[in-house]
Amino acid sequence: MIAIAPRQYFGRGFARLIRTFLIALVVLGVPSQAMGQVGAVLSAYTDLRFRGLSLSDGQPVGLADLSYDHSSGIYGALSGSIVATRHEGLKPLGLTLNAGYARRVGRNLSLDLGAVHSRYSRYSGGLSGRSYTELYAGLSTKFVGTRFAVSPDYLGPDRWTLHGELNGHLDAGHGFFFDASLGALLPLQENVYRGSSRATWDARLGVAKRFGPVSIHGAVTARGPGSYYGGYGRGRTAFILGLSTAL
Amino acid sequence: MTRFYRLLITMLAAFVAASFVPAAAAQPSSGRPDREILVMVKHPADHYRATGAYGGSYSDELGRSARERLARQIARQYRLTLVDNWAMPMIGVDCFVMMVEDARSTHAAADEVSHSPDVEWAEPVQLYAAQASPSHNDPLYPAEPAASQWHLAALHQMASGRGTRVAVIDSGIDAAHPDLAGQVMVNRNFVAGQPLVAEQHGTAVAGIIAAKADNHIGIAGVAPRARLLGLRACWQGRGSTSCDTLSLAKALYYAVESRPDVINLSLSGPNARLLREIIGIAYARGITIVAAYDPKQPGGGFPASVAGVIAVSDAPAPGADREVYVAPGRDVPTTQPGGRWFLVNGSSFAAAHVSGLIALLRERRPSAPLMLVSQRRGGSIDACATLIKVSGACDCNCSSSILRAGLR
Repeated sequence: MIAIAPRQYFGRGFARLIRTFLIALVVLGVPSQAMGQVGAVLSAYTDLRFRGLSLSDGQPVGLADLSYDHSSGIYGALSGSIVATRHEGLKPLGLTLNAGYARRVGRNLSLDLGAVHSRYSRYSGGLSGRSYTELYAGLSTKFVGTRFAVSPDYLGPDRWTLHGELNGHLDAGHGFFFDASLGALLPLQENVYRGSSRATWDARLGVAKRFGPVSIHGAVTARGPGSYYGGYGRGRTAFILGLSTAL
Repeated sequence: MTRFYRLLITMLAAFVAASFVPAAAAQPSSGRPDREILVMVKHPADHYRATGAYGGSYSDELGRSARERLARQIARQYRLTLVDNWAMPMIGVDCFVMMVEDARSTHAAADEVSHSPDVEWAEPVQLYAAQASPSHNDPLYPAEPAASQWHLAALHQMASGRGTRVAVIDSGIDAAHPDLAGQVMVNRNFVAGQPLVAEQHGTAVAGIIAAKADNHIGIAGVAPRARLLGLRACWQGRGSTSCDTLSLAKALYYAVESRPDVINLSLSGPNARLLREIIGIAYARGITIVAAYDPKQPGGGFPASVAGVIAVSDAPAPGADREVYVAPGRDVPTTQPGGRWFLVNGSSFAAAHVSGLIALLRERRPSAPLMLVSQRRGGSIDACATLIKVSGACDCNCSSSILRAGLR
């Protein structure tokens, strides 16, 4: 049995934030979808990797994702995850809140502005959990996009970083979807993290195949040797398998 | 866990469970296009989603799930059965096919659904017919009209369609026909529930456009070095060839994404917004669309009636309210399935001639403004004059028409 107690695992302030977000989602999504689109996906993966860094200590995870897209362009998403720990069974792993605004600025070009806040419990591999907040701006076409994100607390307090990425996504037909990203993480302060200010890169190449209501995912993720991640995060390259189903 | 979180999670679980209604799941093709409507659900602008196992991405599984949920709700709300869907991000919608099971007309059902604020628009699936006159069943090998009327061999001294691509949206093409082998670079099927088969109309149109020349068999196409994208959106019935809105939309969408030089639509039918939207994008991308003119339909039928589409007939259309070009379309020998050749008649084949001619023009001047020269408005196309006007040289024997056109 998994105990769900955000206050215990993620802190009181964050629990309040989640509560507000859930209320908004219920109010906007449940009574009527007339003004927006609500999506829900359940998934399981062999690892949870963020920019090449394992946030599940290399252990399998289960995720529940909810999203809301308002017709005005405002969007929000909530992602919750659990992890199959080595010795303690299933435990809460992380919660992510995401909100933003996207609008088309050309027939095939979208501008995207938003914020993400994530918190991960101590089961993420760190001693006391991890969290980060990012503000981002992106431009996306049908196949490729670019995004820049600034974080004041990238996986630790007072760590200002800038992350830039190029990403590609392709619906290849016959139920095949490909996506890829190549990013670089730049510390914006010197000597604030283990005496290093080195930039590091990350990359991902993924494919998904849809079989009716279920999709199978495979991805290779990798990251550079920068010391920004400290000693955590497992290997720098990983192959991830997953299953997901849209509700 | 607090009571509050229990309550919220229960409400969210109920909301998720409510979306899981097996009866509303997409069914295989109904096989009844006359009872189907197309419901367009708008795509939100692409944006980052901080979800999933990779910390976030621009992939759209959540968005797709949201639109599919919405389509299931719409189907329930308007007493429809969800049959199929087709994402069309290029025009910013997902197209859901829904069947009208009760006594309502498809127009009435589409009109009802159009009032939903979640729906961009809805329209009935309509049928389109290839514009071919009844043909003989006997194989014949007469001279091609274009050989004399268009001085085809002389045209080929200047251009043969090399490096150009023509999308043929039609019934199935016999890509193994000896006059077409190697000419069809893509042969895809967009007709739901039917296998890709070689059929008469598509094979005939393909032969007129791009049958191989100087191979000692059969005929020479108007653009023998052009390559074809065979996109089967129509099917052969008893004495006719038909298509529907959805199959045409899928094939047109694929064609526009493939960016051919020309899209040949040797067919005609009622107006459809979905097709018009895709044709609009093709036009904006500089793709030329050629369509058969049907004098029995208002405006010559759709898509010939769309601004920017080149409307072609096999006979003058004196009452037409727009320019209709006339090209050879009577007693035209062309390829037929099974390695044979037949005579064909109709505006379908006149349109195919013009598609071939435009491939020749595009070889000479890929981005030049397109201008077809006819002897008078609504008159027969003067192929030599048309080609010379863009080639700037007169090194072929096109008779007196060249001289007249070349000086214009």
